[in-house]
Amino acid sequence: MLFALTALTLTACTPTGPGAIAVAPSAARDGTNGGDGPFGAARTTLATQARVNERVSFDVTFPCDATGALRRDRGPFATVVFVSGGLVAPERYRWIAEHIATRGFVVVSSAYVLNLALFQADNAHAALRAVRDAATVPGHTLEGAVSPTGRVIAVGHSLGGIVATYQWLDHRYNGVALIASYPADTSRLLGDDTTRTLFISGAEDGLVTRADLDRGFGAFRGRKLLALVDGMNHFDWTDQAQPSELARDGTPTRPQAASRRDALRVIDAFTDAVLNQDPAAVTQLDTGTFSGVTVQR
Amino acid sequence: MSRARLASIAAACALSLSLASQSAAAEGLAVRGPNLGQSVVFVEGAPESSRAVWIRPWLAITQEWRSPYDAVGLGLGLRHTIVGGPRGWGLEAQMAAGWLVTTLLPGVAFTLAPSTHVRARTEGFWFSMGIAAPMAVRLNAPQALKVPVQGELWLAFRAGPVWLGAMTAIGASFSETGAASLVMQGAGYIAIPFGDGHERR
Repeated sequence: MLFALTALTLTACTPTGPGAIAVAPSAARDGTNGGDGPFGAARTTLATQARVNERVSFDVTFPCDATGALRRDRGPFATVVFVSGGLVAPERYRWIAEHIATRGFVVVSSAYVLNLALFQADNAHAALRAVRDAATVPGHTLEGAVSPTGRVIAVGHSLGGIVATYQWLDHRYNGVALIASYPADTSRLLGDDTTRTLFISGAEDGLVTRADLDRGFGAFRGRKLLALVDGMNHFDWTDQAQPSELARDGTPTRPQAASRRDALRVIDAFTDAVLNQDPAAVTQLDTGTFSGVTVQR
Repeated sequence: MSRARLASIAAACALSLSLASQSAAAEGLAVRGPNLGQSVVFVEGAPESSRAVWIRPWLAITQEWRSPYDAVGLGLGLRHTIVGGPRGWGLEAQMAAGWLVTTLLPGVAFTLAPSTHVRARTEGFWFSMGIAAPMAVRLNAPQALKVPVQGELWLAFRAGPVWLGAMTAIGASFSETGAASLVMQGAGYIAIPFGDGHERR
């Protein structure tokens, strides 16, 4: 019965076509200086199960060609597991997922009940597991997208940074990036000093204080970077910020596009260093400077 | 045809339909509703919907799914009045057990759902509040375990030959990794008593 059900499910539910194109590919882009890469970025929405029988819906944003098809000729790609902030819909982070995908990475972003990742922390890894499974299914939209043992980082914004840290620890990801976030429970960090950590936050963030960042940053071991983006606030990281959100945030002092570009320059160096193990990016993280960003190591 | 015979036929039909649809058992939500003796119970909600045929006042066959058809299940339910009579205040205990088939991530799970409720009942009203732990363990890869602990409220009124009501539950679920997650449930309730069980006493 189980075999028949499995076959039926895979046959009936396997997406086989291209994804929805979010960014068209362009050979004119090279992915440097905080800009998009040459790949297109396409999205597909899938579902799996966690906690035995609970549905987990998630977006997968992947490098694509002009038709929205996965660039299998360049895969498998390393993976970014993105965890959205508290009470913020995952869709509001699509801009960053699309940027990362254009640079040759697969981005997995799960949905959460009430948009609170803390309530379903293991959705993120369940989604990653499902993408790895899908990559082995012939004809699947994501066939060949990732390797079952490929490199992975967790990235989380705000409350999502806490969940990203849990996933990184529990599932031994290759790195974690906390965007405008800091770990709530630093005791769990004491045993890990083998992977790379990025703290990045806006200098005008009204929800995460510098003292919080310093305390969290100090708790991490291993190679780490704290980056403060000039003029950026907490909700510059999200699209469609609501007035109620901005009312409790700091006031940005630079155009959002400029802040984001400077922030992406750091995030790109981090993804290249950890996921691609690019020596130039490693050097940049360890010793370099970033325009519009104050760094601490 | 006697009511008992009708009850047996209804139970057999429910069981056959469940098996025919490749169901196997779930979290026993319908087992935890008002104790009306022999009855057919429909609990329709989200994320769980559940049905039970109480072929004896204390024994039910249950069938359910987690919307939208992410998991289907079949099992048995038991209940016992620990304290109190058919009316008034009382303390009820329930247990459901069975098999669950998950469809999004194909697999089989065993479920066990102990619960207990304090209830107040009159001729036409039922209210209960209690705690339930509808556990499930996924047996094939990737193995998974969840142990929810949830508080529940049930409310029902007699409306002629049937009982109508609603339930809600909220709690926390713990997985094999130690991660906690939020559990929420809401459902409408319809029950059709029959037979010579608790309802008629």
